[in-house]
Amino acid sequence: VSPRAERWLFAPADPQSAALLRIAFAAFVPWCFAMEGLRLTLPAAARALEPLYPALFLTRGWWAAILAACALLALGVRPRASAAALFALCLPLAFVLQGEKSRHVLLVALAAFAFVKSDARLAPFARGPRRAHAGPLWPIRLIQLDLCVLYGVNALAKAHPAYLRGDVLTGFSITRRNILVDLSDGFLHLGPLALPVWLLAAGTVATEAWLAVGWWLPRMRWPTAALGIAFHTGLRWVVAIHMLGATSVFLYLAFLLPFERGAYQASRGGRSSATSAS
Amino acid sequence: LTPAREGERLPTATGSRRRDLTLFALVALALAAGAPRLAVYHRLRVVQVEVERVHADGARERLPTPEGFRRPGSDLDWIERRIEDFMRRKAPADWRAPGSAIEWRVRWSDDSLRLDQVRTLRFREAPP
Repeated sequence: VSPRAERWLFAPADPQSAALLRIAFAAFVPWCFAMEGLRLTLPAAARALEPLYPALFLTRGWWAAILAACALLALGVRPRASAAALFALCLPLAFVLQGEKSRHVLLVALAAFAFVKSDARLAPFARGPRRAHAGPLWPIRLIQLDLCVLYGVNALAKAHPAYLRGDVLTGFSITRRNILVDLSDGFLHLGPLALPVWLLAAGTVATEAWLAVGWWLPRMRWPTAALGIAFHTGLRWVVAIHMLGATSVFLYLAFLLPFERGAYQASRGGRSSATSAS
Repeated sequence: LTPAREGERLPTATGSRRRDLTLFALVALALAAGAPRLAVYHRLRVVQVEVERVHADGARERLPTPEGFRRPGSDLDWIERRIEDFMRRKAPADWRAPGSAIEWRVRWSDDSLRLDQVRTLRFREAPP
């Protein structure tokens, strides 16, 4: 591993950011994995497990276990074990088709987060010395990559002539019930304005492409977040999607929280912050 | 980030740099392997359903497409099953003119609005 890559992966992560992300995870996971209204539709590969769902995975007991793991995670009680347990509890629900994309994205992030050494800081009963760092940055890098892959894949899937011409969006508005606006005449009507659909399509691809790469320019992180939030807010008005937008915006925290603060301090101050904690 | 300096001790998650790198690679590979499933849009199939009555003398009369078929979805087999079910159970009484037939045309195209492919389903009434 080159020295630059070594620091990119192994520089110490800021503990306060890790604690905040941990609490955010604990609050977001129950909402994302909520069982209410979930129809049991499994992909062909997981059909053999189908009897286990009504008997175990979609029961109130399983849900209570998820909530208990979230509470432990929020409080910082053995946070890595709590995150790993939460991952194991949520894994069977990730196979249920219906909002499964957002659950997959969040599950990868949760798997990565299980390696973050976040302590009980910000928890009501926090005692003892605080960690100087939250372990290496690589689990956070995985969460960041998770977000970028999500946007990158979607930008690439749409980057072809039929989509950029606007044909696909027009076709969706004719055929899909979850498209909330009428684009059948090739225009999006905003009061007196008529926006050509090709502009909407090209804007979508450009925005998603930017959201896949813009985060890596430190000065562009907040403008990228603002663009992403505006994009997903606008999207809610055009298309009814499950919770992928909310999950994406949740993962912005991996870029917006100053996880690299410890890394910069360590690179300026030598070993002080990198070695003082277990 | 500045490159790591020689002798600088950076933290690990598992106590071993090699184990950390292996774990990072495994999760990254899982992420890459599942990436294609994250695409919200794969392909567009535009489908339009039209209904006509074909009279005994061959004249054609366009009928309004029933409400449930105006946004029919994209699964052609499912649409056909729904059409058959509709004709069996829900077809309006005035569609059933003796000697005439009801013809459903399911027109579709993939990733374009040309609708240049057609499947036709014909439901013949008993002769007068």
